[in-house]
Amino acid sequence: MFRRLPDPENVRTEACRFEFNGTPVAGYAGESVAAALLRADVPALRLHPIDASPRMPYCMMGVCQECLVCVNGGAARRACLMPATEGMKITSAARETST
Amino acid sequence: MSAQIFDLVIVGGGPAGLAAAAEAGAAGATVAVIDNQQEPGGQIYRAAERRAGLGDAEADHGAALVRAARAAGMQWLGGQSVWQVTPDLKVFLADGSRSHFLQARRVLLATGAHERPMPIPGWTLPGVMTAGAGQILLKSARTVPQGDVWLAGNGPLLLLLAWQWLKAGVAVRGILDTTPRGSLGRALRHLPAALPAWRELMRGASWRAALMRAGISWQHVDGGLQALGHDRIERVAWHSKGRRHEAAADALFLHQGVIPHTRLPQAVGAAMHWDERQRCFAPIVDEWYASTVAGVGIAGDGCGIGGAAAAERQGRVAALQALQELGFVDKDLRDRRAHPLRRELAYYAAMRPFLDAAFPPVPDLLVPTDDTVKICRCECVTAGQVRDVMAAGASTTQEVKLATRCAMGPCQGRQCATTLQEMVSARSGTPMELLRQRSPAEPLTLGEWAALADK
Repeated sequence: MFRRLPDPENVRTEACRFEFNGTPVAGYAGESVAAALLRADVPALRLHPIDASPRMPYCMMGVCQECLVCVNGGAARRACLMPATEGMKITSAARETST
Repeated sequence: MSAQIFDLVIVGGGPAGLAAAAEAGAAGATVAVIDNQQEPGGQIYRAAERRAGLGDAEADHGAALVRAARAAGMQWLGGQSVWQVTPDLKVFLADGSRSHFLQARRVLLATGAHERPMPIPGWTLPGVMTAGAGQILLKSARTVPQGDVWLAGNGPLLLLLAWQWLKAGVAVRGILDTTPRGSLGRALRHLPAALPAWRELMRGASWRAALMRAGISWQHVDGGLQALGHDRIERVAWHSKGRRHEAAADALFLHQGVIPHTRLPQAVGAAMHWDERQRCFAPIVDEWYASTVAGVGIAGDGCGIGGAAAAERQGRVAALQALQELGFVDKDLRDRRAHPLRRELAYYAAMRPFLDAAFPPVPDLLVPTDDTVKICRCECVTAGQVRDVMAAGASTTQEVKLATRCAMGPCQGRQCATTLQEMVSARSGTPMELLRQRSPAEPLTLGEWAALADK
């Protein structure tokens, strides 16, 4: 549902790879984990702990808390505030979701 | 535990914060700017340094602001959340693993705005986002939606985003305009006052003209807006002139204006007021953008929506006041420097009453009529549940909150407080009542909090 526009002339953005729930995801330097996951078309970042509804990033600016994920097993944090970096292991916060 | 001391600690690295940092730093003050983004620029100038020099005048301007702030010695503290500011001017921040505080001699809150919640049925479905999110993806990640993309709501940002996408090669399937019919006519009486800023108004008109030329479908919505689908959005529906319409949708971006971030002003104890024209709470500030708390200024959209150009000038005025109070400039110099800024502020303020009247929020999007709408995304509280507890006797926002858990989830009410306040006010006929807030102003892990005791 999302695609990345080609780099402008004379610009080359460095690519990186990380994992979301065990599946490889392509990211680019300077962008957030949430942006990369939107392009990767995962069905959900997490299932809501109350009604198990699938949730994806909503505001992209740290306000809504919909994009909570865990990095390398740590506490839940907002994927929209997290720069995509090589080798991160991202997992869904709270309930597991499948990719 | 000894804290680092700064003459001025600025929270928020957008136009107001960066301009204030440049002004204060150039006068010799030590300045720290904290932002939850890694890069300076705020939402409007997202990734401006990376996007500069590529023919985007807005990005170039943002990058120039960043350069000026850096050249003036700004200490940039990106990727950090400010979770408390105390009246003795301690600014507490967390970086995801630990927490600490800075001691400020003056504080400037330049935390900007976020989108006014637009609760419609299905707005929690994957594929439904805010228009601001769409713009952030474009600017910071060169990422655009594809397939059947819809925009719904009203306000300048909606137009701007449709136009920016068009330039990037993304033609939206349609714009679902929720502006109440007759709004433009009602706004016309504010037009004479707005005419000095005609250049700004023409920019908006040119976006709309470009969209019309490109043949982008423009539908007027009279209600019934909803996102439909099982595990993600599949269709969008709306009512127009008494008929129901439905269309395939891969993505829907919502927008009904922006409102100030009020968490930190509330945390420090700044007095707030209800702004009827902009339909939001905002902190009370004086002509120097000083709040009711000594030493704490509030500038930019965080003290009332005025746009980026106004925010930048407000930031400078607020910085001049801090500089004068700290003895870096005398009153005479402060006033002389502020004078041209105030003239420019008057220019940008001139068009606001027109814009506010031309793009008013819609009553049934402020108080959802459909009982099934989840007004609180975090706690899954529906409009119907809120109405039920009010029917059972709850009559204040606090009572409804305690009875339903509405506004008690991780977003701390950012996505539902305005809806809750509107619903309670509409039902009980009482003035708008600000939801009470507690520390921390940003979510904080126990680990981050406990790390305060280290050292």
